[in-house]
Parts: sequence; C-alpha cells; structure tokens
Amino acid sequence: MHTEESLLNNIDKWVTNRRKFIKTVGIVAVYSQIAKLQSCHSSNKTVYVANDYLTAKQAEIIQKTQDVLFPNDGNGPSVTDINAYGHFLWVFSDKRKKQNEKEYLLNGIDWTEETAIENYQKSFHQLTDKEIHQLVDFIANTNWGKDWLSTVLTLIFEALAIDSIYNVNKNNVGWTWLQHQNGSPRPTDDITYTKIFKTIGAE
Amino acid sequence: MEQNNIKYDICVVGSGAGAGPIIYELSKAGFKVVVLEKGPWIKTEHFSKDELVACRRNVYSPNKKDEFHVIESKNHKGEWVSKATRDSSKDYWNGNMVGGSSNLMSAYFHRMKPVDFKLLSTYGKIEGANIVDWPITYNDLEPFYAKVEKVVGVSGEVRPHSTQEPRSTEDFPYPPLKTNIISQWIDEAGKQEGYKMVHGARGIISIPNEDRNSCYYSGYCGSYGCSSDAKSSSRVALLNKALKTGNCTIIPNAKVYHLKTDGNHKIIEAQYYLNNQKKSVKAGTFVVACQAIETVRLLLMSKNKDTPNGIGNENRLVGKNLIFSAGGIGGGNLYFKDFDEETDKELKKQGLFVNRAIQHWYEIDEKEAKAIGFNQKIKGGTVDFLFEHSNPMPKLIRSKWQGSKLLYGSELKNKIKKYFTEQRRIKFEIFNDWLPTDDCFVTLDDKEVDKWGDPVAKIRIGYHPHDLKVAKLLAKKGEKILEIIGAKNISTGISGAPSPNLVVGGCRFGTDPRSSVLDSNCKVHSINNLYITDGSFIPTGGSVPYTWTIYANSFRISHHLLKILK
Repeated sequence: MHTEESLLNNIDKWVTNRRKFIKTVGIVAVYSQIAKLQSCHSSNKTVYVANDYLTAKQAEIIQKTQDVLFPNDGNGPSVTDINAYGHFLWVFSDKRKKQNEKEYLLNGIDWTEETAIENYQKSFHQLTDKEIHQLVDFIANTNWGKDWLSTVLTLIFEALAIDSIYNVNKNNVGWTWLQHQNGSPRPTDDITYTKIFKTIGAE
Repeated sequence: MEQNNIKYDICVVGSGAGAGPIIYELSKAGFKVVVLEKGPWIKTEHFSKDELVACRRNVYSPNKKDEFHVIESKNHKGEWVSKATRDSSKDYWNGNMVGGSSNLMSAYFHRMKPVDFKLLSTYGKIEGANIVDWPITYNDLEPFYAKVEKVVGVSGEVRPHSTQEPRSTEDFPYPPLKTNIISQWIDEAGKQEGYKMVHGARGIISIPNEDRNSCYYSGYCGSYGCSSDAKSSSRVALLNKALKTGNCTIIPNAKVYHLKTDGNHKIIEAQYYLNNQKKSVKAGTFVVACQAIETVRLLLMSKNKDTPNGIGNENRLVGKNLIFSAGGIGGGNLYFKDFDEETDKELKKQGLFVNRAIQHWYEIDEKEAKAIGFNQKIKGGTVDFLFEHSNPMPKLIRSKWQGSKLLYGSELKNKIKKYFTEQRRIKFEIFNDWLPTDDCFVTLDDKEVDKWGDPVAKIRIGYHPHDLKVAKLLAKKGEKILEIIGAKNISTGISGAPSPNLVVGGCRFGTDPRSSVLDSNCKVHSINNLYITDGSFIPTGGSVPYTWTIYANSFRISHHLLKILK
C-alpha cells in the first residue's frame, strides 16, 4: 500500500506523463491494472492512488464526484459496489475510443479542480464534503459541467447495468436493484468487447 | 494487385437481405457464386446479449474513426451544413457483417400494399416531391413475398382487416409468436375504436426448421444477433444453405472499392481491399447490394474513362431520391399500481411479443385528410406497437434528464428505481412515406476520406413537410389506443430526422433510362451485367419497414437471373 506522502510526491510526474500513457497503454493490460488501481483505505482515511491514467489528485476528484452523482444513500448499490471508478479507468485503455473523448474526461476533472480554486480558493482535495456537494451543484449549472457530469453519469450507468464479466455490476448488484431480467446467453470471455474482434477475425 | 484466377458466374457485393436470395437461388441452381462482404463473419455462437458489445460500443459496425459519413442537414437558419459522423453521435452504419444488418433487425415484417406501387396514379403529384409509379405491381411481387414467408421464415396469422393485402397463400407457414397480455388489450381497444388491429408478422420462426431452432423469447431482438437462429437473417436463412451447395464462396472483410468495366457496357472485375492489400475477382454477372448509401458510393467511385460520372450515372441520377421512413415514436407508462396483482404478473412477463399494428389509416380518406389541410385522400401508414426494449442503458440515460436539467444524487436514484420497478413502457412506432425530394440524396464528399483514402458518402437529409403532417395524424391514433389500455404520460415525438436503418432509394428503378438508374429487373440501364438488389431500387415508400420487400424483390431478380443465365 502506498503512503499518502509518497503518493502526493508523485503527482507532478503523473501530470507530465498522463497523456502519453493514455496514448500508449494497450487494452491487454486493462483488467490486471485496474485491479491494482483502486483507492486504499487506511485509518478511516481514503488514500487516492495515482495510476497510468490519473494523478492521485485527479483520482480523488473523479471518485468523489462519482459519489455525489450516485451516492451511497441506502437506495441500491454505491459506486464502489458497481466499480464505477474501475470502469472509468477502463475507458482510457480502449484503443477504439477516440483520443479526444478520453481527453474530454480528463479535462472535466481539471476544470473541476480549477472551479474549486476559483470558488473556494483551495484545491478540490481540501474541500469538505459539503463544499464538494456545492461544487458539483455549481458545475452542474454550467454548460461544460452539465455535459461533463452527464458523460460521467453515463459511465456510472454502464458500471451499473452491463454484464459483470467486465468487472462491474458486481454480483449483478445493479440488475438486482433494478429487478432487471438479463438477456441470455450472457457473454463468455472470448466474445467480450476486448476479445471479440480477434474472435471474429476483425482485428 | 492480386487477382483471383477463378472466374465466377456471379459476384455479389454485400450479403444482407438484398443479396441473400440471389446467393441462395443461384448457388442452389449450380452457379459458382462469390460473395465479397465488407464486414467480418460473425457466427451464431459469437452473439450474446451483451449490451456493451451490441449497443454501447458499436462492435457490429465500423469504427467511425476509420469509416464514417458526412451528413448535410439544415441549421436553425435554414442553411445546409455538413458534419462528419466521426465528430457526432450520429451513425449511418447498420451492421457490417456476413448477413448484414438483417442479423440485427427487430424483424417487423409487413408487406407493402398494392397502392404503394402506384402512388402517383392514385394520389397525384405533390408539389416538391418526386413521386412516381413503380414499373411493377403488387401482383408481380406477391409470389415472392410468399416465398420469403416460407424460405426465409415469417411467422404470423392472417386476420382480415380493412387494408389486408391480397395473398396467394391462405396463411403464414409459421404460427404466430407468443404474445403478452397487452396484445389482447390492444385488440379490444381497436374494436372499441371501430377497427381491427393487424396481427403483425415477424421474420422470426416460431417452430424449429431444419438447422434452425425456434424463438426462445429472450426479449433481446433489435440490435442483437439471435442465438437460436430463429431470426430470419440472410446469414442464417439463406447463406448457410448456399454454402452447403458447395457453389458459394464468402470472403469476409473484403471492402469493394471499384467495379471495372470493359468499355463495352460490361463489368469485368470487382476490386477490393482485404487485409490492406488490393485484390480483384472476375465474374460473368455482378450484383451489388451494400445498402442504399454504400451502393451509391460504390457506383460513384467506379469512375473511369468509360463511365466518367460513375457507373449508371449518365443522367446524374445515381444517389438521387434517397428515402427513409417518415414518422416517429410514441409511448406511455403502464403503472403496476393501476392493475391487480394477477394482471401485473402477466404484464411483467418478459420476452413475449406485442405484434399488433394499426393499418386502418394506410390510406387517409378525404374527410380526415381535409382536417389536416389536404384537399383529397392521401397516403397514410402503419402504427406498430412494441414494448420498450429490454436493455437497460437507454432507460438509464433518459432518466438523468428532467427537461434540460441534469439529475443526479438520490433524486436520480429514486427516479431510476421507480422507472424500473413500478411501470412498463408501451411504445409505438409510426411508419409513413418519406416523400422523395431533391433535398435527400447521396454524393461523394470532396474532402473527407476513409481509412483507405477513398471518399466517404455525403448524405443530404432533407424531408418534405407533408411527411410530418401524416405522421402527426397517425400518432393520434396510436395515442388513443394507449389511452384506452390505461397508459399514462402519453407522448409522441415526430420529426424530420431520419432513422438510418430504414434507408432505401438512390438508384430508383423504372422503364425510362432518362428518369431511372435501373430497369424493372433492377439491371443498371447502361450496363449489361450489373444488378442492384438491395433497397436502392425503391422509388417511393416508407409506410412499412422495408426488409420483407427487399427480400422479396431479391427473390424476384433471382428468378429473372435464373431465366437469362440458364
């Protein structure tokens, strides 16, 4: 487990390299990496870990934003239950996804940080929970914020409702909550999104 | 360029509903047939009900980074503006794979009716629309509609109604699929309104046949491949049988970019890319069926000194009079609290079909037409009822909006939970004629190219205001039925935005080469051995989905080819 101090020291390095990583990291590495990219919890304090796609600060912003958008309020699964953060990261590894769409996801995180500084004169990671809620309410009323949050929500919905073979919707928790009857047959490993192109000879 | 030394009797470009009957009939008759299909060969075992693959990431169509279209539509000032689909959420691909988009169809099968073949002589001219009569009649096509029922597989039951089209056979070869209790309610509602509901047919078999299993009521048809082979795709119903003859060769991932002529009104070679290499194949007769837009693109790209405007384009008609299906979508919510427990249990049953349609206003009489501003009877259309699709993502995505306000947090979660557990949404789709106009056509874009460096198709998508008036009238009929069966929050969206999966025209057939691209047998007027057998030939239409007509016409052309080639 990383310590908070060492993670924060690495932020600059990750900022410098992140776009290079987004362009070069292939889909093969996805599942194994994402398993390692989750946040660490220590002494009741969550430590946000940098990874191939996000700095620790960015990781914190997106995870806390996801939590506001789809809260753990006792009604259905939380974003952790459905691995919404893992799914968000997985999108960056998709080589079929357009580069500008990936950069848009990152830009939204950075714009959120900028807005935090503009509105509260402090970084997002220094905001209280109440301030984070206020910040999300604020950006939801801006043009860029509404569009970006909407995109983030769509990815949360994917984590809620697509097949658990993608390491989301764990134990079908999303389907169970929605009383959704899945279709049959469900995908097997060789015909998942990451493998089907090879399976059908389209790669 | 690598040449295939075999000379085939027939080379077919494309393998969907317009190609399948040709491939099947000619292979069966002993002709050597080669099929060049742009997409991969996805077999039944490769299909699952994975929403990420089928709907969210468009695995079944080309990546728009590599292959896309340019769409020309009017902005709010009424000016035509172009945008590449690469840079928008629009997608004009409909399933690139062996068997084409027929693998992914919902398979609502309706025949066209006799009046569809003679719109001009029945209703007269409409200002701004290029309406013509077809060079064939319903009677010419009827035996082939019947053939599709049997050979491709159509389930249903004939229940006479006010616009029932003539049939040469008594009933469908496959009994109707099982329906939800709601179908009875819709029947009753129709009766209450004074007309009979159409019991809709489907291109899905209800009992097993040869290698095909019957429908297993998964509830996932449209956009998904079928895992029992019950869906009557070209691949399952026709290509698999053609392959068994030993006379059919299918080459997947083969993108045809040029048809070479001999300077004497004949095609001699189809040139294509395979694994980034240029290849070619020779044949005696060529058939193109890549769906309307790509068929036009191929003809226009096949320019040379003999055909400087593109093949068949001597009169600059290739790409003109592209049509879609006009109409829109309506719906309402059936809240479980409004019904007793037993009824709810029936209503909630997944996988069962609705299969009911209104065709009572396929023709709108003078009185009703006057009420919406016309002086005489006009052509109407079809209202098809269906449940909201089973896949959850569209419902979730819609839930996040309340008007233009983005919902999130507990408010959003509550809304989602209620939507999924407290109601079932019944919808209807309206199909009415998309009038052919000078503002709906395909050309080649002069700047944008695909990953091979070839110009992409540019599509102007203008519509005629007449289409919206008809659709609005039909919407009222659908809404009334929903009201009677107890639906709430009923609404309809009508617009001039086309459904890209309902596209035909662009190479209309006719008897006069000055006003049509194809003759009545769908041969390019100016080329002796080139046939177009997808929906491109259709000069007018849209009041029913096109698939059954495309299959039937392709069987009709097969019949013609068998006569002249033997």
